[in-house]
Amino acid sequence: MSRNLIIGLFACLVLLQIAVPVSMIVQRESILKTGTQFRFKTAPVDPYDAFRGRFVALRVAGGDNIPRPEGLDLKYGQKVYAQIGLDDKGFAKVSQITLQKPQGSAYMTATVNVFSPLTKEVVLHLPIDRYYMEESAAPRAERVYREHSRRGVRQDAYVDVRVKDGEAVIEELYIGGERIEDVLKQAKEKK
Amino acid sequence: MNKKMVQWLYQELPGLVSNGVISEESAHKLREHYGEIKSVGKKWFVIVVCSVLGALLIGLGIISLFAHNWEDLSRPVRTVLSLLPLLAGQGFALWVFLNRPQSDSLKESSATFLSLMVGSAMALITQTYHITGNTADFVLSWMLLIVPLVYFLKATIPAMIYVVGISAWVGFFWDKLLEAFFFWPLLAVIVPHFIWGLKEDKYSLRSALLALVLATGVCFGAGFSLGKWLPSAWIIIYSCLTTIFYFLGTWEFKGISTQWQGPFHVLGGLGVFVMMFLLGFKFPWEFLGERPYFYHYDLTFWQALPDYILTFFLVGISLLMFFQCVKRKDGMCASFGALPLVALTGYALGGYSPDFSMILFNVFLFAVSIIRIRLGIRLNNLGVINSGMLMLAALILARFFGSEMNFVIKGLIFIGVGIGFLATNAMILRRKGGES
Repeated sequence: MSRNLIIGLFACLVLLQIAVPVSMIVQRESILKTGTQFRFKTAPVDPYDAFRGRFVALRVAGGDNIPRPEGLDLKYGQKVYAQIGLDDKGFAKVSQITLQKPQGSAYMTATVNVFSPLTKEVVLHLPIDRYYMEESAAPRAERVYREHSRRGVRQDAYVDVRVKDGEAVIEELYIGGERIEDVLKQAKEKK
Repeated sequence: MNKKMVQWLYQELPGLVSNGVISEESAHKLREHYGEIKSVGKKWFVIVVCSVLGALLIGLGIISLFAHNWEDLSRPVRTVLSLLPLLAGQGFALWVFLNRPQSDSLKESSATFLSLMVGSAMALITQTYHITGNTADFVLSWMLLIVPLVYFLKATIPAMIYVVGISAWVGFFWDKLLEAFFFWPLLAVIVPHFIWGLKEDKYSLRSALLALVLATGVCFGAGFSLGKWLPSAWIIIYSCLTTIFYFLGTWEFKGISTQWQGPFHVLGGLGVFVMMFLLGFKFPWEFLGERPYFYHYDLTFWQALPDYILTFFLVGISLLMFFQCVKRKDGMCASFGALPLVALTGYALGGYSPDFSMILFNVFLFAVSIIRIRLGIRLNNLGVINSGMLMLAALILARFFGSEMNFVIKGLIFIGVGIGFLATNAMILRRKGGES
């Protein structure tokens, strides 16, 4: 094989190695710029599963107890399309599940997490379950998040999400109306 | 011949010449025959480890500097910073590729640095955009993006990272046969590099390390991707795999002077013993008739065909190697190599009588250990004798430890085994002392 051809192939590899992360960036930036914004109220996370190190484990309230459409045969881990609607307070929730891409309404690609034939309700695994933070901040943020996601106490945590063509990107995580990063900064300054 | 042996010979030559054992001319001819020793083994390792560590520390330092102010940086800045180490790694690798193609250490360190930076860039982007990733897809994309570096830069450490990566990847598909089977074509991608390394020097640390990682990866891959169509097929698959490793190690790496040079020999020998020991219990044979829930009833014949083919291929190869061994009248090799044949017999009859298969393996392990002890005594090889003794001791202890036998008898058996060990070693050492 000629040296020029090998150099050409190596250059192709270098371009490919850049193209993969760049395509991830371009896709997400496009969603953030032109996607529809939704605000999801958060739900408590399983305390045994809470320690993650580099991210805050999120669970959004709108992804649970979704009525299973009649005649729809679902399996664990199955890919579905979750149509997004709004509740009476303006928070987003999954309004319907379909196996075909919905036309004309915002939707997220999700997987079936829990499905009980008895209750006829479905719990979805939505692709918005991680909020990455710097390593030292993530465990502190998770503690704050859990305090503000507990039912019956101060349930004032929510996430802003941009949705486009089935893909979703988290914009910010808010606690009591403030960005989680600012909440942590203020707590640090108080100390 | 192994470099260490040649090195020893060269050290001995002046003494042999001065004592008149061989002539100067013969010494010269020997030097000519074996040629110059290129001591790249340890040097390669030290230089590569230092270069790779240096490159990694620089990379980690850069990332730590960013991480310190990470929360305060805007998203576009974070994105650019995530890509910078990747671009630096690519620049370094390109420079080495164009300007220093002869330097093994630079090629290894730049390829390793770049391999890790590809993963780091993807992970940082994932974190910047809070992407809930599919870990299996992430690992596979990363591995596919770095594997060409193995060939462009003839670098072995990225090859090891790749094998570890695809072995981790296949673990995500332990219950999905069709996806898991892709492990084998993915593994095959690295084989030409492994063969190239063996051709360069099969006793080098580079070849030994890759062989060790490859063999371990194959064991992982086989566990996750094979035998989904037959209950307890692992008995057959691992019996064949460990035996093939043992044969490869024994036949292809005859000139080893230290055990690390023969990872197939060590892993294979250990694996064969573990299989013999494990199959001497009853529990592996009790589940032959039962199908765990993840066995695929719904697989069609054509879907399961690759699994069938690879499993039969493993059985065929291991049996062929065993018969070669018998033909050569190599008792030591044949005793270990009989494992697949005994496992097949046990598997065929274990469904009817688990006790039969269990007893068969106890007899087999007993016979193998006696053969090793006898051969060791005949060859005056303490290592072989002790391995046989250890196998026998393991068999005796395992069989009697769990039994309802009286404590006094148990104690006496253990003391007897201990005395046997000491006496045999003393006898062989005395014989060796007498010879010298």
